[in-house]
Amino acid sequence: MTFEQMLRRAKAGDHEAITSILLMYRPLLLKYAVINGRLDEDLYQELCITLMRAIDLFRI
Amino acid sequence: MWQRNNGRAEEELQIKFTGYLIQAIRRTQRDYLKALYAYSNQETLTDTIFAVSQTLEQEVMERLPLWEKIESSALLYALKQLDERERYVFLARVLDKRPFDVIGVQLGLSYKGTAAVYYRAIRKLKKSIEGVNGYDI
Repeated sequence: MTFEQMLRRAKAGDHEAITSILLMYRPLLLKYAVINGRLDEDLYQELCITLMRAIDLFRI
Repeated sequence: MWQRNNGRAEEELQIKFTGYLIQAIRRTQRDYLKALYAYSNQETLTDTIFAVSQTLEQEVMERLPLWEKIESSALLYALKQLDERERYVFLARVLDKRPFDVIGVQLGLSYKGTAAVYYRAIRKLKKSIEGVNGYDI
């Protein structure tokens, strides 16, 4: 499955596709969720929500 | 599981999506940190208010009645020997640093009259403090 297919399925609301995109971008989210050398779990949650919104809003 | 981008042309979309996502993430992070900063500022504010209330408490302690604060028992005794008007003039002059004319207006006395009451009070105080110290209460 190409990324485009996966993104389209995620946009359509396929939970499996959303989960695999989330897993794919997890390291990136974790990197941005670290504040002063400590992982801020609230910020991580916010970033996960941002990812979901980005999936919805991104125009292919 | 999805493989990482290996540079193929059809994954251009993923690169775009990643760029888009990173921008969104940076914005979220910035807003979050801003909110956190505002919150911590509020926290400091509450702390200051608390500190102020503590000093208020201290202030209240400081505003205990005069007779609780006077350490010299001789002075206390001497003050009790004065009559009401003399004590008022003396304390107004010494503690509140009010000028004679202001005290005089309040008591219906002239400047000279107030000054006279004040100096009489001083004399009385001196006398009774000396007397008390002589007996060493």
